[in-house]
Amino acid sequence: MLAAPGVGWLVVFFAAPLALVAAFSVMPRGPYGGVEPGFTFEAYQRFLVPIYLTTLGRTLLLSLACTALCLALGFPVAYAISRSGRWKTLLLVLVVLPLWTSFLVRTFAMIFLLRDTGLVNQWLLATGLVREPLTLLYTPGAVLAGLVYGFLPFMILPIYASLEKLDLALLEAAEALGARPAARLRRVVLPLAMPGIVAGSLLVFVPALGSFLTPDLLGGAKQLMLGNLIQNQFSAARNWPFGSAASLVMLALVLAAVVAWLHLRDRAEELA
Amino acid sequence: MTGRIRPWLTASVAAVYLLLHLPVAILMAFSFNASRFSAAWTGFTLDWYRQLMDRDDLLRATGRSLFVGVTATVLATVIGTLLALALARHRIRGRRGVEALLYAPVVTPEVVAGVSLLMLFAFLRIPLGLGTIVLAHATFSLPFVVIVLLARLSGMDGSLEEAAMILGADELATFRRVTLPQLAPGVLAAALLAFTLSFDDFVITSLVAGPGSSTLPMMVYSMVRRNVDPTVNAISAIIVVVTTALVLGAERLARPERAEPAR
Amino acid sequence: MPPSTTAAVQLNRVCKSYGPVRAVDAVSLEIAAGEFFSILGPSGCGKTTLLRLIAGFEIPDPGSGQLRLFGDVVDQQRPYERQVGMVFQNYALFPHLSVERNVAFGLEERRRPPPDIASRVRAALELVRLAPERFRSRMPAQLSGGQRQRVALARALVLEPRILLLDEPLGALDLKLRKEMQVELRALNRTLRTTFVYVTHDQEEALTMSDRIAVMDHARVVQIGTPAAVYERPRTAFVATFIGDANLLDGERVALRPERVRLLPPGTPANGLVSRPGVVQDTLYRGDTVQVIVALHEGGTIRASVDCTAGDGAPWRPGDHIVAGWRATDCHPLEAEP
Repeated sequence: MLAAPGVGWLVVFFAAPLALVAAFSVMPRGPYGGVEPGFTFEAYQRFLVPIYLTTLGRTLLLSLACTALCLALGFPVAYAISRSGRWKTLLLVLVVLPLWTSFLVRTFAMIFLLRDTGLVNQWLLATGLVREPLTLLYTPGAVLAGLVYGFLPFMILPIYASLEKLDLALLEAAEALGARPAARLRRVVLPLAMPGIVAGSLLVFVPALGSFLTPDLLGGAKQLMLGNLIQNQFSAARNWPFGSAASLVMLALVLAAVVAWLHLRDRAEELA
Repeated sequence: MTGRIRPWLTASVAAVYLLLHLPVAILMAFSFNASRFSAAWTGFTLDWYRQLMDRDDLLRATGRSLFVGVTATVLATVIGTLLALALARHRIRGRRGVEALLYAPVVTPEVVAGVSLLMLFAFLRIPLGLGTIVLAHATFSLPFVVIVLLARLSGMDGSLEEAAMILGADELATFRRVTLPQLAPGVLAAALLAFTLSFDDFVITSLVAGPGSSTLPMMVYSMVRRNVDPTVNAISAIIVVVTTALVLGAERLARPERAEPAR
Repeated sequence: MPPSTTAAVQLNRVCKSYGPVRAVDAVSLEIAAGEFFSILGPSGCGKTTLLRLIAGFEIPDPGSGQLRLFGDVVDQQRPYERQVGMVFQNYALFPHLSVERNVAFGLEERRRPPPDIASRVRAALELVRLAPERFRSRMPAQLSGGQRQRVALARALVLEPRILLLDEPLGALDLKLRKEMQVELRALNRTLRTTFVYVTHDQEEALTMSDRIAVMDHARVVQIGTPAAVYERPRTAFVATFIGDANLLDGERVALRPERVRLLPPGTPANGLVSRPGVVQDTLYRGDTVQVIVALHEGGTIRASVDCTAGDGAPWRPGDHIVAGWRATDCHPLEAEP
């Protein structure tokens, strides 16, 4: 059958490894950091300490904050694009273009701006607003900025797609019925854009949850997110069961987000 | 359909666009900065680019990235095309399961995917090296290839294949003479997508790469980390220009076929 | 039905279902070699499915009847094994191949030598009246609808199939072109003596071109006959109203064609005709005829079709009192719908 190689490949290189992760998460840690035969929940129990719970909390918080910011910044952009007439294609291309640029390069661009010898500090010093460079890098703010910078297009595109279906006549009808701009936005535009908002939120929240490079390069050792924690277990810290357990936790969060999205999506479609 | 856009909307939107593009633009601009310690513009120079030429390790890493990219792309494209055809044209038992299996990698965080593959290779006692990178890249590219092709296939006319068959071409000949030429632009677009994903990848690659098989992103990462001089800017600028050109080229390829036949 | 070796196509109680839906319900028919046979019916009646069964794109339900082409049972044969030609509704020309390559497709598949292919392609294009030199290298996207249709025809005919299937091929053409093509298709059928199986929902088209027509409704064949037979002696009310206009009288048990209804001034003696008085409700001018709708005093309406010989439009106007008359023998009894 045609589908066999593809399905087989995915089973071997995607499903089976995940099964391994699940299995390893409940096995005891071996002498070199790998696993030993056995069954235990110690990897999960290891999680329940302040330091790791903080990491988890930080991950959730930053992801939510990133999503909210992306929504705040992205919605106006999507709205503007949908009303921009002949500039539409150009504006869209400009939104999509960053996605094609290496994420590593983009994150480095952020470092370049935010570090002590970076452009922002240079400018601040030059204008006399500060006397010493501000520590912008390796802060939660830097990570947040990096996340928003990285994932903003993923919010703009789905919202734009929803708004595209917005009929200008609806807005004019609302205006004729006496609705002021804010009300028009709230009662006509927003409900119609809901499916896009919901989709965009998922497309930002999930990668944010799983992000590694951004917290690694912009956050330093103090702003660890779950992704860094996991990666650490397979390099320096050498604790495969714990890394597996953390991976499962991350997958659970992603799954929860997807389920929430599916639920919200149906509700959003009804509204629109 | 250009309604009245209030000034503050325009301003904030412009600001967002600047946010999206300025950082990289600045990064690229400063690759020509004579100062080693960045941020203060002291003069124009091509020195950093010249220095790149001497970096054999970078050149080798680029070669490895290219090799991995091409190999993984071929794998993902071939397997993905077959899978897309199967999904689009035939009834499959357990279709829902296949679709879940297909879309799951897209939402799976890269760290988890990389880590899981690392453990698989350890479990199967496969030594880490370029081969494992190829396998990993092909795996995460596969769903994207299928998605792109499915979109294209759904727009394709099944009657062309039927016409071929009634003219005497069996399934294989029909595929070769009618389906494949129709599919070609889509396959090309999918392949370019897969290549770009592979070429840029860092997270998964770093987890499953063996010693001595550093790819370009891995080298760039350590350069960023160590942050010695603007050669990092230079290599970054080159990467940006090349990938953008590739993508725009792919778009061009996808465009001409839009001229719909018949009717 | 015993296998008939002279029949080009023979279906014996063939069924085709998609899940719970029956698209073709126990259809039996025979198409003679060289015949121009139309399958006529409204959208969704199953005519296209029937055609696709003959082509081999669908397989009859297991356990249902057989399909024979020139005597051979072909149920399990793939389309490329059946030596049947087909012209598709949207022409299905290969967009990446030139006209020449399109027409040559089947011949290339058969591995004919190139000079042979070239001459056959040229002959086929001439057959459908497309100048080979002008059209050979064009791409389908550069052709008009009518030209694409001819290429599709050439592509099928170049293989000299014994049976040619046509799935509403003229639907997208404008009226004038359609009428031209109808005449040409008919002529091709005569000249080549290929069996044509023609699917359409246009009853006028079917009447014009066919030797025989099968009328389908809701997955069943309701009547098969020559155009005259189907028109003059419709079996059911459905056939009577689908083909041409009909007045349904006596609780839909009798059909009366409008052209059989004569309109007489009030007070005219019956003269052996069945006559009913009424008032002219409306007149529809059609150039060669006028349709007059008469509201009968006893209730109901009757439609009469009158030739315009006087050359000055309708002699009656709405509101005129009139008598509608017809011969009793002009009424055709209908069977009840199954």
